Amino acid sequence: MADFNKGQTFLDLKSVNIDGIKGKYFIALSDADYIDDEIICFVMNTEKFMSKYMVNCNKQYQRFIISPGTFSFISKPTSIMLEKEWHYRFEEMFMDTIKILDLAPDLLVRQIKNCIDWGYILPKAKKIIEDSFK
Amino acid sequence: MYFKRHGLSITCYEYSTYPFGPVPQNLYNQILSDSLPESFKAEFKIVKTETDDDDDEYMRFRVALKNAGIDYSCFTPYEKEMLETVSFIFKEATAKEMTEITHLHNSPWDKTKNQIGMFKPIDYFLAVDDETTLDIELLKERFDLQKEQCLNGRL
Repeated sequence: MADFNKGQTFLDLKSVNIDGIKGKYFIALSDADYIDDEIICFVMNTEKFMSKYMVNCNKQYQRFIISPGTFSFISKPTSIMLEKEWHYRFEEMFMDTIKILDLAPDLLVRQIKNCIDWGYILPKAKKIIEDSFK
Repeated sequence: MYFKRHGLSITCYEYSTYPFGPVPQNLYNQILSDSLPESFKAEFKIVKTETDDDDDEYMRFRVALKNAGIDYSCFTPYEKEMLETVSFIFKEATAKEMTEITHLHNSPWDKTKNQIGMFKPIDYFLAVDDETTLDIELLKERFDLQKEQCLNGRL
């Protein structure tokens, strides 16, 4: 087992959005062992247009929808936005601005991974994710 | 083209209405002030070229690659696909022809120039047309997501 595991969710308190600093929830799709390892993550947002989507994989939209209660901090239907990966370093996970949350079950993590359209993902990030599932 | 298909920008730049077409103003200013990021300087240099026309009021530049092999690893497969499409379309086009294409009636450049004026930012959403298959909400979500990534330096 790695020191940091795929499926780990976390809150980045210093994340900046268009309106200013606002915490963002992420799920990691890769493992990390060493302090400078890159971690590939996807952002989670409350879904405002649930009528368009179904729960789980919506591949043509690159949205993976999770139901309220999937994680302890999710109280509304939530989109994992798969069309852009976010890059973090393992060392950042120890910072005060990162709050480590729930670990997603392996089945869910694999469902999310299999929902990704790799055409949107940098080759380097794809390799990091795929290596974590070997 | 990439935005109207995927709701994302390949460059993350904001483009403005310049006389010869849409120009990423930040990049243009970096070129003029010789302050391009080091990662760019490692790959290419901008060379000022002479013009035969003494009355030409504009400076002309040429992009000179420093390496024979270009590192495409900073592009996703869809971005690479788009670069190949655009380079195929314009491989024989002259600068003048490319300028004319950006000036076509109702192009984003043309609409912005007519409605707001020259040297003004061009709204990416002006590229949306009948070929756009994603709905506006999804385009907006994706575009905002990418802007946030750029703000956070998480690309």
